[in-house]
Amino acid sequence: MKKVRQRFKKMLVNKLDLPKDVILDLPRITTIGFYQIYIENYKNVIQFTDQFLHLKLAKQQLKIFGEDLVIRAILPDEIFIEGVIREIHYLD
Amino acid sequence: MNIKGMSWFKGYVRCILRGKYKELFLNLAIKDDISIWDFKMLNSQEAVFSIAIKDFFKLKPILRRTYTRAHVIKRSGFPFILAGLSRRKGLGIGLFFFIMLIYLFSSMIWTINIEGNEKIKDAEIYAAMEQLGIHRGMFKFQLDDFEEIQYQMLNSLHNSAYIGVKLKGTSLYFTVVEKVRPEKELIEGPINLVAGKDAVISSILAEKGLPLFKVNDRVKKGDILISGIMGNEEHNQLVTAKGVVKGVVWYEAVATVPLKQEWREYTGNFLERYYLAIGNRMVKYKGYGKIPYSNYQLSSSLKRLSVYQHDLPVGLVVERVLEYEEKSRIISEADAYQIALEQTKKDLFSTIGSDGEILSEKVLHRSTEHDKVTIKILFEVLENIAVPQPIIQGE
Repeated sequence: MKKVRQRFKKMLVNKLDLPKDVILDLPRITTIGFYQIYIENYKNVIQFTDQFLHLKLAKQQLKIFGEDLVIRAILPDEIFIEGVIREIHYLD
Repeated sequence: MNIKGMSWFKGYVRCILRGKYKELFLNLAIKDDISIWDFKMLNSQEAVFSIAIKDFFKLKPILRRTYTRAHVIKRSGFPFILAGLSRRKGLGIGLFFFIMLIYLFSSMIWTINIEGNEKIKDAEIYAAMEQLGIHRGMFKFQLDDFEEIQYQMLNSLHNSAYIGVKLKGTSLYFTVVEKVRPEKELIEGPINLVAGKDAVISSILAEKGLPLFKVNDRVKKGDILISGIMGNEEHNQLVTAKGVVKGVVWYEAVATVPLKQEWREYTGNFLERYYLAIGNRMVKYKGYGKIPYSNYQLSSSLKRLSVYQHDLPVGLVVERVLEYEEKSRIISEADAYQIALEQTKKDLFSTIGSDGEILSEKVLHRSTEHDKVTIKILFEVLENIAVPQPIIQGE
């Protein structure tokens, strides 16, 4: 049942050109240069140091490596990070 | 993400966070709808963050649950300034008075400008203004309605055709447009003098032109009295006829005057009631009590406070309750007759202008019925009946 639902959603998105991140509950990550990252639709913060950020997203996990990382703003489902960003990893 | 601006106004603090589960602290705070920003890890033990004052007090349960402690290292924001002011009350009071003074001074009139006058002297205009009570240093709300000012100034300055009043900031501008009296038209070209009304000629004097009638002739309206065409059909010369032709014209005038006259007169007693107008509502604050007059008329005026051209929804309404009484009197028939007579004479003069002379007046009809006196009078008036008419030569 869940699989059918997933397939149905995917078809809706492709045929009707609906926004994927809303229908499929995916995160939206906007990076500006290597100084700023906006992450929308995350679940919670697992770990945070000034060189490493580990976030839990809806289905996956996100790891960010860098230096002097600062959380500029944090909201229940959005987070805004500034600093020198070296690596961005997606994990399942 | 405009958290920064509002936060300074509402007040925020910068805290140091020490303890074990700092990330959990972050998650829990977020879940409780607390905004945190500029979260930085100083080292493995300490982190700093900024939080609004309101939310800071909500942190206690979260700190306890995550085994962390928070200390304030910096306070910023308007509420802290206010608290600081309470120790320096003089500063606060001074600031308040300063603002009030600026507002007060800007609601006064400091300059009066007059423009547009050439023949009317500045001194005249200033004098007219003083009469109305307008002077430098008065408050703006003391001014009457502009329409009222314009009307009064127009009345007192006889040579003015239009007076504009404009208030710009603290300057009052008067724009004066003077009356331009048209020059008397000089009639040029060949003209005849014709009769303007039916009349019997009493005197005809031609300075230029050929008189066609003599004394005691009866003329009709339009008859040529003094002709501008001189000579006969072969040689004729056109002139501008000029002269004075006086004739006797009869006018009939009718007037009716009632014997019983009723009118309303203000007794001079009045009450003033004051209302404070806020938005669309009015609240009476002075002038309570029933109105002791049985007959009264209301007149009210509204004055609004304003800041920089924008009207605040606050104003003052002054309502005057003016008492009047109905008076009546019965005049005698003889008096009514006299009044009627004068009325007919007034009507007559408005028709014939100042040029005429009443030779005689004959009462044709005089009756008194239904408490009214009705008269019909025949006036014999001696006046100048010559009217210029240009000669149009047809082909």
